Amino acid sequence: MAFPVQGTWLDFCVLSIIKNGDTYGYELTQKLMSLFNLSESTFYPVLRRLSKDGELTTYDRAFDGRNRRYYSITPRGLEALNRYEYEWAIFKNKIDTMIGGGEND
Amino acid sequence: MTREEFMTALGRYLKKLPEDELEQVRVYYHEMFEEAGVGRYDQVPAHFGDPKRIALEILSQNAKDDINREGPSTEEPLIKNKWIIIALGIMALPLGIPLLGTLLGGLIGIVAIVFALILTGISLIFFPAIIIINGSGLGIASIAFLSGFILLGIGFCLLLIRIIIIIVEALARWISHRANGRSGANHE
Repeated sequence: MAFPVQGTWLDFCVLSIIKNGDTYGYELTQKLMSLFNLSESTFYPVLRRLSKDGELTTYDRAFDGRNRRYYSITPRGLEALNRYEYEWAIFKNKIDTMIGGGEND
Repeated sequence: MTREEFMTALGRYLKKLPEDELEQVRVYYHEMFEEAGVGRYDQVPAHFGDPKRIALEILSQNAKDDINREGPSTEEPLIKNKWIIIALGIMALPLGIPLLGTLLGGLIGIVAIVFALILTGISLIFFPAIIIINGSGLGIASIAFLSGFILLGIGFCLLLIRIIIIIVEALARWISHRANGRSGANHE
């Protein structure tokens, strides 16, 4: 893909997926890797940062004799996600206007 | 690269990380490999990426966190401290000036006492001597009496000189000791 998914973009994607329900690490990576050309190595730093910033919390569940760490979104995470969605709508509108066929013309 | 080699490499690149954080990384990748069905001695699929890259990503994230945490907090207290020191200095003036006055007064007092003692010694020597030289017709008893004063004066002066020498020596030793102590501290 021509557009790199990183930084704030990744935060946006991760929060969007977790908003729809608590998600364990592998599930999250599989979902995102099926959408974008991402490496497994991308996710740990993102999940760690979001947890540190209090936008995600974690809890552990046993599954089939192993552990699954679930991530769930916090009110703070929802706040951040709302902000990203708002910013994204503005940005999308600008891009649409730029490439023509925007609603403004 | 096998899973075991992958984890060893990751641990090696992240050895600067605090132990509890490194443990979190291990827990995460352990879980990922288990979910992906990668056994301990299986080859790690390419999409897991390079341990070196992963380590760099984590370390750079940590460095950014450190900068964000330190950034605003290092410069402000410095400025604040400077103002506090100046404010304290100004507030200490009403106390500082009388204190300085007391010290100065004490010093002047000590110098005056020393002067008085010196004058006493000199007076004890010279005044009886002048009386003896000028006084014609003084009896032997009077001359002996006055000579006693002169001897007392000489003794007094010698005692005073000795005391001054002791004080100066002690002072010199104290100053040189302090100077040595300070230069010693600088060398450390």
